[in-house]
Amino acid sequence: MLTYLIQRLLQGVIVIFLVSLLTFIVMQLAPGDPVRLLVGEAYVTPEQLDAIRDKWGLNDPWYIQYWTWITNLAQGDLGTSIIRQGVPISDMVREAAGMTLRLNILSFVIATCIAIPVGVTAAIKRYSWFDYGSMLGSTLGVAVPNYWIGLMAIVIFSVQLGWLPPYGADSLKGYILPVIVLAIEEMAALARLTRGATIEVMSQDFVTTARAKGLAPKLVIVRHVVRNALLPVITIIGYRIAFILSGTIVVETVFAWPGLGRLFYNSIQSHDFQVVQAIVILLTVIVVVMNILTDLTYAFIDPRVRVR
Amino acid sequence: MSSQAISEPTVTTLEEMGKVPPTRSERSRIWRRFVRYRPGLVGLTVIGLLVILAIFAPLIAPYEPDAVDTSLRGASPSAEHWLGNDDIGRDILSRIIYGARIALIVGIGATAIAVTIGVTVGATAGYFGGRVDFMLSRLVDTLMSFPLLALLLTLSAVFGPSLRNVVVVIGLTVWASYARLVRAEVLSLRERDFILAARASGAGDRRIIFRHIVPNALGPVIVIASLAIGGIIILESALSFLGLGVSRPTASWGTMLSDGREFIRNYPHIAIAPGIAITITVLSFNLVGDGLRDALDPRQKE
Amino acid sequence: MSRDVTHDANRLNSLRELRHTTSSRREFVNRAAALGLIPVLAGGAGLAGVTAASAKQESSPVQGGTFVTLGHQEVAGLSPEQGGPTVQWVPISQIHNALYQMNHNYELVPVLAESYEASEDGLTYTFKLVSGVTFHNGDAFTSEDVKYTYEWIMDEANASTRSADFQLVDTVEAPDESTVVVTLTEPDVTFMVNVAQTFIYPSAYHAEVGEEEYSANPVGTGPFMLESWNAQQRTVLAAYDDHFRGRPNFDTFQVDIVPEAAGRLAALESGQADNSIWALNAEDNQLLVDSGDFTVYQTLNLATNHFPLNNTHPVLSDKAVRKAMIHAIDRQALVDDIFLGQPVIATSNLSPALEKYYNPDVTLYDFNPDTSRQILDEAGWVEGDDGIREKDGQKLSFTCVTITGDTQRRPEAELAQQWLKDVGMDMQLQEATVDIILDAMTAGEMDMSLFNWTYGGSGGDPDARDTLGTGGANNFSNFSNERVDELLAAGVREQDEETRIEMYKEIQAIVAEEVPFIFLLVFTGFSFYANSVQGLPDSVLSSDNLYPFTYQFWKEEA
Repeated sequence: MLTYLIQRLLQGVIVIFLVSLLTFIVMQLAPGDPVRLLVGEAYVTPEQLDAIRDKWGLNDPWYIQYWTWITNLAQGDLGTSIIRQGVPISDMVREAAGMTLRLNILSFVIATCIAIPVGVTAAIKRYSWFDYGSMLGSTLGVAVPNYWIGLMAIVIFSVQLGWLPPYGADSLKGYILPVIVLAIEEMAALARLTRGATIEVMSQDFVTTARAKGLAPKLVIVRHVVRNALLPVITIIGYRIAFILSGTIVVETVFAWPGLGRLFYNSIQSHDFQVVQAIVILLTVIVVVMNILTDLTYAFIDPRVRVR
Repeated sequence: MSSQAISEPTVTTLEEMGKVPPTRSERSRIWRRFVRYRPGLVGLTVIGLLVILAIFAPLIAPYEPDAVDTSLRGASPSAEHWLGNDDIGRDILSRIIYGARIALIVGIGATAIAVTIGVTVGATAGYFGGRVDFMLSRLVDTLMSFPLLALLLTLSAVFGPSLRNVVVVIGLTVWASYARLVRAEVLSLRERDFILAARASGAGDRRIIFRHIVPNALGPVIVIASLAIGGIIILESALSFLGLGVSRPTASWGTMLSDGREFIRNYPHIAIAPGIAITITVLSFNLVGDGLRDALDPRQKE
Repeated sequence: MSRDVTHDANRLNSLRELRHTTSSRREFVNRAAALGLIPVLAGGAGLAGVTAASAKQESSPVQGGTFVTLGHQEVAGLSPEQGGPTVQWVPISQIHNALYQMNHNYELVPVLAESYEASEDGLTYTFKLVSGVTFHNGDAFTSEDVKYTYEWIMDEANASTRSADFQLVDTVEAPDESTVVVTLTEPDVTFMVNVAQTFIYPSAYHAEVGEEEYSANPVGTGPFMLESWNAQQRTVLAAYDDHFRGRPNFDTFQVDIVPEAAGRLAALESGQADNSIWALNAEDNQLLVDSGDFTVYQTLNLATNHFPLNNTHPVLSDKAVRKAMIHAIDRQALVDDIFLGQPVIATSNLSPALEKYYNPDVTLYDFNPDTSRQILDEAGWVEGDDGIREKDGQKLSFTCVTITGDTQRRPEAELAQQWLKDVGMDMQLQEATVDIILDAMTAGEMDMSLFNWTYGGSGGDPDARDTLGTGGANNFSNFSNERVDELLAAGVREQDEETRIEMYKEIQAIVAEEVPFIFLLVFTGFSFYANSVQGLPDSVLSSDNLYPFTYQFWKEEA
């Protein structure tokens, strides 16, 4: 068990290193010049531009830059953003991640509370109207681009009806639209998944046996089906949490949400590689940890799954 | 958004399906099962129509998709222009029809690339095991740890937006889930009798992998792929939203939707038409995927 | 040497737009040029010089309330070093003051200085400072702070983004607490313009914390001081009670970042915001004007909306091609249909807003595809099988790179593509971020682009050496014309105004004749203030330059 954990952790470290190297190389390949953006339209001679680039070490070859970056990282220093000086990158990322997490946890809780009962019910009443209706609804939820829903929601609820603000992460009302838009999509995906997993479990021998033994259908479902169906659902939740952080770029843009997705997008666009690196590393660490945790949870919930 | 649609199938319960190479009668049984699932059939019909639209776009579209008429900026739907005109006076209906091409090219093209890479990597890793497996698995882990949209954004920034690049970039980023799936399949197939028999009869590794193992693992791959196509079409619209989609003036639904958002107050029809087109298409692919999943499930009763 | 990208109607919806505002030396210069040159309240002649459509009922100033304005991109930092992008410059200009400032009518008005005197030879400027001014941290403002600020910018080790503004400065002396003497190496008529955009640091504090820390915790003498700041979300400034010109009426000055145009429009319409730094599209402008809920300022831009062309490109170097292009592009349709009559057609490098120098009598190009085809035929460009013309095996083909996410101008490129196709030209479209475009265009590595830039206007004159002069730092089209170079060189030396006007009119005539770039339109900027905001001027020549005066405005009680 312990060896397994250490092994997984080591693999995780390798993955993190590879991801950071990959990001760095890709960012080097991408054209762009943060210094030009920093200077804006001020009148600057090419020599002065070069002096600023020197100051930020941008004239060094990429492996030197990478080395500087990774040795700093080893000392816990994420570096300084060229575009956003003044605020330590760690603070910047932490704050943005907090905003994104808040948004996502809320929408995820709402989505889970609705999607799991719906998915289970749909599976039990397979090929019923409820099944068709809820699955059509959830397929639709996955199929509609979420920024479209978001913009429509702004037009209807902020402009036409005047009920909710078009943006504003500081008031409770400001949460409503982005949370719902995100939840619709989460809900849709989760409901479909739960249904599939439940159907799978229901057809398995032990359920049939339980039924044959004369257990009440409701009891069978609660005791055996739901519990087992949760396994793949938990797995996917693990994955989701990692994807969530980057998956909300679009919703964050629509609702002016000061989250991680937007910070990442802006940093890529402005070629602010220090920030890009920091976010990518954070996300990778989360994914790696989540994967390990998911495996452990899996083993915990289902004793039949033996962790090698 | 779309990352989820794509990552979703990776952990479903498909792994047990399609173990046996489908024979002719098997195929017709799968078809019969598929047909029984009405929504899947509806989805398939819609996709069929889309393919027809895409192939015969020049014959069906009432106007050239790129023909402009500034005096019709934002014109509402009318008898001449059923879906109205966009911000530079192009006929939206014609662009929707031509857009079907792009949607199919992006969805199917990127999926094909992803499946090819994923199956190859997965089969290689599973078949050879050991060090090869370790290396490839870390690569897959790395890719799967990398937030999808983030990777896409970075790559798009490197390659610049164009139809080809969008297809390639998406294809290059979403293959990991196929690799993981196929690897697991192969691991379980590797020691089966028919593989051992093939090996005993002197077949080479490549032949065993591609003749014997891969076809047996294809069932679940097809299901996932059909579900993923929809996700990719949405992904394309997300890229367009972020300014990294298919280059202009190509009529892509994603770009049309993204351009239309600027006018959502004044000319909402510009964004509504592509929004509905995307929704219907993605819905259809998902329904077909659902149908296939059920049909390929060997435990399904006739 | 002029540049300024875009006024607000033209959105460089990129991450960081190029500055298009007062903080740019060029822009200041332009405005200085406009100062006294444009008759105030030009009253129209179709130029939409200044209009304030307002539903104002003046009340007397009320203390309190929050002024909310909107930006489209993050406020990355609050140091004057980062004053490039307008969205950043607006809060920075609330926190800081300069010795002088250019007001909304392009008049130079004293702020931290009481007066200045320039020596006969134009080499020495002596400033008398206002006394009793304090920084937000309580430090007294003295000549030391001015000397420190100027010298910090001049110090090469700091690699300041503003160092070019002080290139001609030799020494800065502070003989006593309230006097600053600046000596130049050569006379520079634009020096006061630079002074007017150089915000003063508190010397002790800035030296102590350093520039990086300062950009997160700025301390100035301005009417508002920093309360809280989240780059992506919101910048909140609080009234500084001891501001030397009196406490501002508003308690709070707030900049909210809303990247989506639909979100900004919704915020204005719903009353969540009072103003937007970043503009909207033509229909949205109209919607807000029609609503009657806003005081609206419309100002004609100084920047020209244009397709810069690489004049060293094998195809685009052919003048016939460039002329054929401008004949093939229906600029009137752009004005009437796409931008709802809000812009005017550009005729050459200068905006009609620069009335005194503007030359309407230049070669004009009507929209006429037949003329265009004829020009191409005569120049030997013949149509190939694919409908694209070619000459000596060279296809009439090039690529136009627009700014990523530039929703405002992208349609112009898409339309041009179709119009050019009609006459047998193949124009491909690509997108890239603005930094890439500017670098590549100046280097001659890109065929064509689309943005707005000011081609003329320096120190009260329309000098354009950096944009039109051979090898100029912002000569995006790599234009090179001997006569223009001569005129540009002579223009900055010529003392007689009439002669100078003729010189710059000749430049416009040459540019119009040579078509080094496709001059499309000159946009009208729209600036909206909610009706509840009081104390606004009747007319405005520069809506950006109005922001530093927000401290004088107030909101009528709700």
